[in-house]
Amino acid sequence: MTATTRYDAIIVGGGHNGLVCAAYLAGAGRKVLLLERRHLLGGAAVTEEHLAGFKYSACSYVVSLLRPEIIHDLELAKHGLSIIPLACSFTPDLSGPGLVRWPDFARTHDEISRLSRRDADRYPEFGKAMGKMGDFIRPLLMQPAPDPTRLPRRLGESLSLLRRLRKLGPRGLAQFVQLMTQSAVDLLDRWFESDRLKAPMACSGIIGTFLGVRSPTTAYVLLHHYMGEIDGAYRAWGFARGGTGAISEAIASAARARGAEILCEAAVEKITTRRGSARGVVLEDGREFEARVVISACDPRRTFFSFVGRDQLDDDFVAQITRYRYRGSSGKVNLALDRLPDFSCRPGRGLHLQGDIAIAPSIDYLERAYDEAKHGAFSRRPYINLVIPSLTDPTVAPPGKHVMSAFVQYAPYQLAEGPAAWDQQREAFGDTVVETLEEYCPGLKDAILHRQVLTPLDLEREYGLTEGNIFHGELSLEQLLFMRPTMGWARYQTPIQNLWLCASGAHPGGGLMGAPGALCARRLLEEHYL
Amino acid sequence: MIDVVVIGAGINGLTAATMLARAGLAVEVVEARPVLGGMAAREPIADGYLAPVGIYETTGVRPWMLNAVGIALSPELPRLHGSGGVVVDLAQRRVEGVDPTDAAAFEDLVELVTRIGPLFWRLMDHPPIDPVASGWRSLWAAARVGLSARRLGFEALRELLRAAPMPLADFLDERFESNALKGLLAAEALKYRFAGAKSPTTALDLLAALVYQSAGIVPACRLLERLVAAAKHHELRVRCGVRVSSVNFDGSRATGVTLSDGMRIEARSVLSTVHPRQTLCELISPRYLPAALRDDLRAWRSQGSTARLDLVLAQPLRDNAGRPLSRFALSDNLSELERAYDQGKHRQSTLEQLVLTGQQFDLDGGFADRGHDAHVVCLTVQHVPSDRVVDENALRAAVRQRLSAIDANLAQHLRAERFTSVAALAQGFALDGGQFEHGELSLDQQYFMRPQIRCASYRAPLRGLYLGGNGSHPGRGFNGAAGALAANAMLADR
Repeated sequence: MTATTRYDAIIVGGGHNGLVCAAYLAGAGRKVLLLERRHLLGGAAVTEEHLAGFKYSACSYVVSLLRPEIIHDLELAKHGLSIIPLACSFTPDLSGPGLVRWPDFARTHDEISRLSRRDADRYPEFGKAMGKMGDFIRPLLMQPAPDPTRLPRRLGESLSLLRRLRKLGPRGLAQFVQLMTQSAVDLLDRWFESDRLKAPMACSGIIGTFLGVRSPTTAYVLLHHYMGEIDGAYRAWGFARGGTGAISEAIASAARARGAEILCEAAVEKITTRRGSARGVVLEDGREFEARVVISACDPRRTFFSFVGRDQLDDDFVAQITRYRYRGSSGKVNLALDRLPDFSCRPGRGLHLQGDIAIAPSIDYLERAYDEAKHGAFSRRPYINLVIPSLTDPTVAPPGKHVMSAFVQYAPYQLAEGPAAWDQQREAFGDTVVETLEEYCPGLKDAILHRQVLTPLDLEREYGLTEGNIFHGELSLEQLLFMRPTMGWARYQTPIQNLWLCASGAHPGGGLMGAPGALCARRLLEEHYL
Repeated sequence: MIDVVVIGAGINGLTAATMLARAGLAVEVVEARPVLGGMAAREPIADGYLAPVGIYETTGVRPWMLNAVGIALSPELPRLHGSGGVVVDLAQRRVEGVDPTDAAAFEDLVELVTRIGPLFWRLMDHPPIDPVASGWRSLWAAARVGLSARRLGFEALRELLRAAPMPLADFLDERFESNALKGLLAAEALKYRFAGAKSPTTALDLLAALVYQSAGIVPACRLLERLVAAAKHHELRVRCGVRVSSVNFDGSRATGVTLSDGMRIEARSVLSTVHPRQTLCELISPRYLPAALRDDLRAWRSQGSTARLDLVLAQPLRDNAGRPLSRFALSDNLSELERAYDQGKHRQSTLEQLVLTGQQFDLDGGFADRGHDAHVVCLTVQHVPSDRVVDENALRAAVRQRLSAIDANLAQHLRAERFTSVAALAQGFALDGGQFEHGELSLDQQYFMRPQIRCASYRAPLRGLYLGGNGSHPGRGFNGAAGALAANAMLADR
């Protein structure tokens, strides 16, 4: 094919954000072409089959942050999206019965009471307080980041943020500052006394970050995870029926129905520019496409340094993108199981296995896992977040068999010996995870039919996640809001005219949220760039 | 009936009391310890030798503060020695002993510090803006901060906003190659903090430390000496060796204090410079304070992890060129510093990774009685857990070992030694956890959050009671700024 068809927009990368952006633009009548390097769509939101009949949600494994307005606007239910809520959060223990937190407060109260009566009483209050803060933050997730450094042009946005901040009142404002700057443990210490309750709760503060539960600013990440909603129900996480890839399939189907053209196995090599303005792309196989705007759904470093080229950008911008930090900290182990794992603290098949299962026995355990990673080694006893989707979704495993997904932290991209050392340490890492799990569910080892180990290096190579960072760059305070990916370029536009960013490297950042894709599309349309 | 009772005769208390006396108020100071000076007071190490038990240097001593108490002092900028021959010379705005790239990067850093200085001082020299207040005064104050921020220009503002929440290690790794330089800067920036270089928000500590040190350093005893002289000049009444046991109220207005010996001092206002939790939770009957505020204060973090060690040496510590050292910060690299923090965090002993900072004083500093000839070295040892008994002898030996890198014959010159653990500091100075600054200077405990959002203006939520200790803004540098700003608040209310 030669450059005969001219598109309104070319989207580079078929991850969930690229697909969302394509669907919105196509829905507005624009001629859209989406290009995906791999053979399947979804980026890190994919379902893969490595052993016949066993479907892994290879990377992203639960959904909660996907914006309800996107589900509604794109009619994703009509396109096959079906979400099964997680039944509970289970924290197994080596001594004692462990802890299960249910959506039902009375049941959770009984569980927590075994650890501390006072904590049990305060638990619902905590949820409410976080919900209130979530209500404050949530609108920020569906609008471009207000930029206080761009006064007076953006005065209106900044003033309205300020007004909302003041409305919180003194105590609310103090809580807000604490949430943005404190550690997850500091925050939880104010509410609870039981280590066994605090540890699994604190985990939400470290997922995807290279920080420990005692590191300042992790309270915000914890809140971020409290903001998940399904059908307006707070904190409800769920699986997509058919695996996480089903979400991408649904969005892709919505995009196609609106007229977007989608090509797989179409790896972009270059984003071409003319006089500082993007004009199209060249694929690795030589095909060329032109468009009025090029939108990258890849992370900033890949976009600017691999596709555009440093020579097209001014030195200051190159410096800013160079120091934009990635530092992946997590890995993934997917297991195909011959039988259901049996947790010795709560034996047998029960509803407690239908939620997420956190290996997080104590705050100290989590902090030590972080300490090892800080000094360049994967955690010998890591934090693990497990799910067994085959229990609630029979489509992902053959009858009687199961798939188990283990999200593992910490697995630092930068090992002391360098990232390339992951090729030698991959299996040792997988063994560590299995051995850790074996302590909680003896016999698990013998039930494993197949094991997929994804190190941060694999996440980079296979899924294009630079340095294995699942959020396209750390969700640290200095890389959020009007500073994501860099101050002055946080509104999806870039210094290259007609080149836009629509993925997690832009506000509001990572997670299976879809917000950057939707916001980028909205800006393009509303401000008549397209 | 007098006008004001000031609780605590440390640098903040003496500053506030002197300012109030100069304004014509009848002031009385009550100090629990037998001597004036709080943590800056000198106490004998051994026969004839004295050194402060707590703080030995103050930074950010600003001309307006000196004017306010009517004293003259000229802050100096001594060279800061690190490991491996690295020397930071802020007076010359350069670093020695590193390669030219690092040297140039250091000049850029000093340039950034110079650029952000005016914004810092706009924030530090004034009471914090109350974010929920309305009215033209607070609007005006906010606008002035906004203008100072704008005057930085885009690049410096970007650097500052980006650096503020960052881990110091990332900030340093982006700029420098030299491990010794990075170790030195981190040790210096974090010497009173319970945080590692990889903890977010610590880059701000380095920027603040450099801004403060650029304003010069004054030995704590020298500042104290002048303050005491100024207090005497104004015939300030000071009562030492007696504790305040309660602040009294009539309805909702402070009426004075009751002392531990049962005596009452009637006063129109009370200005407390002790730890904010002590002032608000211990000295005041609970019925006067909202329960929510007491709850919030309970969560105030002031866990210390820095211990002190003082040495008396017959021969001074010397640098490579044979000149006596003045200030030094010893940490070979960031990972060593981080491991020290890890151990402190897990409450283990930190003998393998010692992070030391210190200053050597000669006889002019007033550290010895007449007729004695020696040098005193005051040291901070970072990340020594407080709630576990550290083997004191092992720690002393480890420090000597560490210092022998500077002076191989240290053991022969050592005449006397005094170790003060975190617990001893906490006990001796009512620090409630042992943190030197009455509360960790983390982002959530600074500015309008210090010590709590509703009393950051130096006014407790009870009429006539003021908070002017380091638990109030700015709380940094041991320079008396909190006391001075509290005194100003009190004078403004009259």
